[in-house]
Amino acid sequence: MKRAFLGELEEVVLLTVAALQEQAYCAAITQNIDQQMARSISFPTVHTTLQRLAEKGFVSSQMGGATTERGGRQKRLFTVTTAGQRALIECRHLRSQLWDQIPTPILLLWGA
Amino acid sequence: MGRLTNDQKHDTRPRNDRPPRWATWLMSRFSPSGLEDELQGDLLEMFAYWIKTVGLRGARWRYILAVLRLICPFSGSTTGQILTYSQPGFPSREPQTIFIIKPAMVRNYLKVAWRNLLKNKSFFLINTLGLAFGMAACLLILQYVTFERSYDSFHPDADHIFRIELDSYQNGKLAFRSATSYPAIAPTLKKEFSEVAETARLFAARTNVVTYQNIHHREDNFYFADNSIFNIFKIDFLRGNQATALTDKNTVVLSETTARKYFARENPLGKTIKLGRTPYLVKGVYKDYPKNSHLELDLIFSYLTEPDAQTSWGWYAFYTYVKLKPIARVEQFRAKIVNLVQKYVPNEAKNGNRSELLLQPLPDIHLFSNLNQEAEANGNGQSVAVLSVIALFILVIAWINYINLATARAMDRAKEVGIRKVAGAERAQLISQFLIESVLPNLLAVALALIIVQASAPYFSDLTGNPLSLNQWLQHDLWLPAFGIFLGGTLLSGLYPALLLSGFQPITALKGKLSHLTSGLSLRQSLIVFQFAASIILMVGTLTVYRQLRFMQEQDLGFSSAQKLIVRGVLAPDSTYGAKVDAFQQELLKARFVEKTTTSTHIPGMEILWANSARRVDRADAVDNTLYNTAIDDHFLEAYAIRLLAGRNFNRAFGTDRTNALLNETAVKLLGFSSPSDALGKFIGTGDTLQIVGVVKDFHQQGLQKGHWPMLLRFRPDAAQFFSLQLASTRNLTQRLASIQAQYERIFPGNPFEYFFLDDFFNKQYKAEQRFGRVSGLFASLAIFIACLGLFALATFIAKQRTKEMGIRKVLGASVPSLIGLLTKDFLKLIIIAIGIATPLAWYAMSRWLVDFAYHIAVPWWAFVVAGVGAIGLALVTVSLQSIRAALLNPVKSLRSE
Repeated sequence: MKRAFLGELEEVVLLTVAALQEQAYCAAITQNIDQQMARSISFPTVHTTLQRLAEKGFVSSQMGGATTERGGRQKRLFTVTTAGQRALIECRHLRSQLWDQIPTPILLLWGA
Repeated sequence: MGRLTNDQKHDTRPRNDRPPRWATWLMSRFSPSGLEDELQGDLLEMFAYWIKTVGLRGARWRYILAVLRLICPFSGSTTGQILTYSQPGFPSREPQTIFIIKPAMVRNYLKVAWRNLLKNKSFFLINTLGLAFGMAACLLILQYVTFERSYDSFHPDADHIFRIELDSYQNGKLAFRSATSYPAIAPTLKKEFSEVAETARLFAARTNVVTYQNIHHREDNFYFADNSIFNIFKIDFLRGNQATALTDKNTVVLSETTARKYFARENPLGKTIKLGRTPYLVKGVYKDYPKNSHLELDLIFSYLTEPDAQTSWGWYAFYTYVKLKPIARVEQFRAKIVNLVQKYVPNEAKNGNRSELLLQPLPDIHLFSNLNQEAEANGNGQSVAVLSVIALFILVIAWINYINLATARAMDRAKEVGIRKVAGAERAQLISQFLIESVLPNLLAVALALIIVQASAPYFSDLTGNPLSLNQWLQHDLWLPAFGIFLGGTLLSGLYPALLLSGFQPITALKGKLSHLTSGLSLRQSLIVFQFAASIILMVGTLTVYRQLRFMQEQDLGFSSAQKLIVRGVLAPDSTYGAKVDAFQQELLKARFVEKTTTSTHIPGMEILWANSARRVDRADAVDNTLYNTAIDDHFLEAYAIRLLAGRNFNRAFGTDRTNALLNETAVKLLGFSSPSDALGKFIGTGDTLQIVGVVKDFHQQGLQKGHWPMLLRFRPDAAQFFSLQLASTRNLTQRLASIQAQYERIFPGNPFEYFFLDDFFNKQYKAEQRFGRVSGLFASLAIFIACLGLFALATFIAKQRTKEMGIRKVLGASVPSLIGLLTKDFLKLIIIAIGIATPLAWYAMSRWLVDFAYHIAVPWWAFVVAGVGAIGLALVTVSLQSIRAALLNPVKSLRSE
């Protein structure tokens, strides 16, 4: 791929990874999204998305500590790679560029 | 998964808070490689979270869905952008699926399958129809069989509940085997054996009238029982307390339906109903007792109060049920009780008599018990087994059709297989393709079969006399077997063609050199042989059953049953009854349409329960023999046309005939008299002493399944439980019945007038055989139909394949008949082999079936001829339709078609 593209779902997941920092593993990410967004994204979907992000090189992962509530099993903790950071920033940049192109009176009309 | 077991030790949460174990197992088994650990952990955490947010049910549901999606072979990453993981720790993973089936290929397989079906519409139709009929027949029979086998298994611990069977030996010979036994057995067992958890006795009362205020009903299905019956059988009380319902004397509990019959909407508790003239207090109402039990319990009265009914070791009229403790060793217990009676009745052995007690498992009673004094007309385990075999036969015949057609069409598919192989298909993929292909007709057939079952269920339950409301029952028990048959059928019928087709060498397949493929042919032939052998066996069986039925109905019964109207006597006779009985008969004889009348306690077609042991008085070493009693009046022999072999009939004028007796031939032999005339004037002791004044020829008291009973006829002209009226003709029947009824009601006011015809009554004993004949006939013809369907398709196909050969033969001068012969010969050979195989099998099976009848025919030889000729004829018609068409085809056309 010449230029990695970030899908909407991928963006949401990647942002959550960034937000959770040290605590970013699949279950936590799913719960976080579930609580903060009105729509619920299923666990397998998040899992697949994370794999896809890893394939694209936007996240890296390492095995982390186990807790009793997960039956003593290890977590896979995700961190945003530099490529991921760049992609997120670029994405945000692109969006704000588009926002800026909307004329101010119309924005006022929308009440935004 | 050492980890898993480890976790469960730590897991102290209550059991139902855990995710479904099978899903966890599935996950551990099939999770993407290397990710198992983390996914399991994550899922556990998610599960806890879901419990909080959507509840336990929702959590389980979501857990299962998540597992299924995670292990689904298609769920991997599909971006295909960067396939290797750059980070360490994420194991590299190829997007590999567990199954060889690739979704894209499945679509292609289905498409090809569909096109093939469209190309061969008639084959497809025949396949599916045959399968559907086969499955429907199988499902229907399966339902019936399941119902018959479900008898009495609804009781909790049904496998610990037994009925006591009483086997009585006289002079070392088995005299009778009875379902009823002595009333003293139950308390003795409970007292003496620690294995026994509970015992209960049931006393079957005779039909009687139950009255509440001015509501009368004749009740047939009621018992007097110990209160402990509720601890053995599952009887659900709706009102009243089942711990004390029958502990007091003269109390009764009713089934829901019976209660409604008498009390409508009133509360029955505390009311009094009368049985005959005795009042009983209603102490409870229970949910209607299930139909699939050997007992019918409409009312249960409190146990008898006579002392004899507590302690007798001689009065065998009581059903005794025992519930053992779960720890009890049944075999040991059996051994302990066999000779229990000897301990309490030491005298018995002295007279050369012996009684044994046996245990009958409760669920086996309906199908496998065939004793005297059964509580119901039992089912027949043998015919249930035979029906199961028939069901299997039909299904297998339908599957064979599919296999035959699929292999026959192998030639058509050879090229396709070759191309696929050249293009890189593996054998496993080809096998899966053909398996998927066999799903289509099977699925359609299952759907069709379910529709057929639904539509024909009422007729079928009519045919089998099954009381169950099938529709209600369908919901639970139809889906699983249907699914099983579908799955089994798909695999069984699909696997062989799949293996055969996928095994082709691509090079030979593409060259079209498969015509020498003989292995498929020989299997196909043996399958046809099997189909027809099975059909012939079924045909012979049906013919034999019908013949035996005819034989039983036409056999000389030893008495005349024609135009006999039976009127029931009154239920509670009083001291003036004798005079009234005479008056009634006098009145009837005045009308000219009644030729003869007689009265008796029993009529032919009834099982006689009035049994005594009798011994000769003239011999010191005489032993006891059980004789079956019927009390008759002086017209009985004449009215029934029963022949006297020696001595004289009873005569009212003598006045002393109450102490005289008539015997039948069997009884004379049993008592050891050398000839009928030898018995005359001798005395026998049966409690009272009777002098033998006459001997009658044996007549069939019961249906021809049973032999002759040793009978003792006593003279009691006033004991009229039945009036037998010989009618002059059956013209104007309604009118005449009305006049008989008028007389009856005038002379016996307040008694219901009930009547029936003797021949109908007698033939009722053959109902089971009639049903069996009808059912097996139906399914035998179905089996033959399906087999012919398959043969037809096969013949069509082969005729098509040999079109060119036929053309060339014709050009070279072959005649049409010789061509037809050529095409038909191969099939005929198979049918003849089938006849050869089926004949000994059918003969063996039917002789086994006939042995159960005391009076039976030999297996009719002509049944084999009819079945054989029938099979050949049907096959000939089926095959020659196609052969003739192929032979008549103009060679110009058949040779041009390329």
